[in-house]
Amino acid sequence: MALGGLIVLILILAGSILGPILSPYDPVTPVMSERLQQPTLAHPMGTDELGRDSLTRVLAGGRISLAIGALATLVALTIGILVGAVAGYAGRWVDNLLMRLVDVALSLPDLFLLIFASALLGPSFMTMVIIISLVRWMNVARLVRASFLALREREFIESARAIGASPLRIAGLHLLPNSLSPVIVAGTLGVASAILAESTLSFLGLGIQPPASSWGSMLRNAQAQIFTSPWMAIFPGLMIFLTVIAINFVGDGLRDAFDPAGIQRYRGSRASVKAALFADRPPLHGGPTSMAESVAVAGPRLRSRD
Amino acid sequence: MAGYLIRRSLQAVPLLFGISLIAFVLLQAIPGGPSAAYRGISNVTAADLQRIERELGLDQPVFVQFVKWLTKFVQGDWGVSFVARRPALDMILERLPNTLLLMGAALSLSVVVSIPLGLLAAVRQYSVVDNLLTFLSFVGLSLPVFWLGLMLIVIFTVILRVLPGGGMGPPGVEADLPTRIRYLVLPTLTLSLVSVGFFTRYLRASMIEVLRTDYMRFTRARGIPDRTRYLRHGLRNAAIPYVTVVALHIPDYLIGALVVETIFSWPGTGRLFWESAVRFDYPVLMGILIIGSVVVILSNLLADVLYGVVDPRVRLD
Repeated sequence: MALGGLIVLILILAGSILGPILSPYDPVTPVMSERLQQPTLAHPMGTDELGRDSLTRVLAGGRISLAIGALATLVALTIGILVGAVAGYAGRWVDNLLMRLVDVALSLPDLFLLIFASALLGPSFMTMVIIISLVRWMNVARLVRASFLALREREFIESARAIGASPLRIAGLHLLPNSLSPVIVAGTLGVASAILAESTLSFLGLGIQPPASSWGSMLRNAQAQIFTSPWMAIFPGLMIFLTVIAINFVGDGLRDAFDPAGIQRYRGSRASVKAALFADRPPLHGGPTSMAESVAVAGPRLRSRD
Repeated sequence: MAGYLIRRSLQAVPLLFGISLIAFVLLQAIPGGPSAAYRGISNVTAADLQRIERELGLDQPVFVQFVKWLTKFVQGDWGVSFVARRPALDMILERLPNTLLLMGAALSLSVVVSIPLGLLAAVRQYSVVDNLLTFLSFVGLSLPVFWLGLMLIVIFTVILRVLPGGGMGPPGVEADLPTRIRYLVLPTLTLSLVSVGFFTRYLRASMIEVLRTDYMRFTRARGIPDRTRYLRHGLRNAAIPYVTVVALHIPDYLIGALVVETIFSWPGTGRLFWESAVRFDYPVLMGILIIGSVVVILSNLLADVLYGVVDPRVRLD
């Protein structure tokens, strides 16, 4: 499953990057003579209301959607790791303050915040990267903080401290590498959720603006034509779906690889199950991936191999 | 219990304060400030703009504005919509029941569907049915809500012509109950997808753990029929964490409702929020954003309380 996901993902990635070479059409120039054509050999996904080849636009949109997904996740991981590391290492009031900040950030329904911010700041590529990363860092911060707290008292950290290693060296060289595996899983699934966030915003008209295309904005156009050209709505959505499910499979595979013990950690007392449920409260957002994420960090695994 | 509720509610106050502060600061970050909605309108002069800013108190320091806004907000004065020229609170309250109806219908459907499916998957672990359900859950977790909505419209409205693809009823007519239900079907189906896959997986995992306990083995030794064992002894215990998880997912339905309402022209708060965002109608935006946060906080509280209710062994204090 994970391997299949990886192959699909690589295909989508390659197609998106090589799009301009593969496709003889231009993604933005209108060709009014070829408006709203059904899928044919010349246009495998048909054409849109301005006569542009949908496949070309899907590939161009893929570049934008994947780039935003990857960049936003990178920024979110950076913020999350920094906040989590500082909170977990410093402890006391710093920890308290940062974790209350996380609480506040988690209490805002994120799609609402995204719409709010996008409408106010004006939608653009960079705005999207920034606002999506600003609603996606909390989970990582909690994961990093939790493992810093758990590792801080271990012998190898104590010995590093004893030989006079600086706090920065302990945090960066000893604590962080040992905290990374849940972060990598969360990061992988985070790309899927960032892509969903981007396409939702673009679908609502508050993301990527015409003439540039993204999978979400193509679906927005498709909705306007849904009674005359229903096929327009099929392919962009299919691409979002394939990308997200592929990433979810890869993330699931990574989790298995990193953590064969899986749910065992959370077993034991009911209290610990509850603690796990609430401590790693998943980020809330429109896309269904939030559930996948919460499975990843909190609950029983999607695929329990026990 | 009462003490617990009071303490938890008090804890929510600083949280809400932080949220409103963030929202307010964000508003100040708009290029052009909160009066941007009026800028660019051809017949609004610079003098008009100044007068508007003075009327709305936008010429005062940000901190003063925040305190004033918050004081009024707490008293129920949520400002006047820039677009509709009506109190924002009235506009929101008008739409809220529609959103709650949609959320309630979808949440109920998710629960009703996920319980038998989750049970079936757990009882027949690793069977064909279980594997199929696993795959379907993955599909459900990865489907974008808005795409599912569009596909349902294509299938049921455009091709089959059996269900309406938008609105709450035929325009201009007072609809009877069966008609209203027909209009509710597609939005509910779309929205219920938000968590049904996750709920199913969660109940399955929880039930599998219960099935492995000693007391479940003992019920078998006592010769209790499987049906009773699964429903009376198994499900009741497996449902404890399940109920909590369902409550924790209520905000996802609120967020999903926003998307579903825009697709299906459902006149709820989500659609209102989207319309207000496009028009920079910030009193309405702020109001709905805060209501959304209250929903998040309340569902967290509900999850904790329900945990105590369904499992008498848990003491909340």
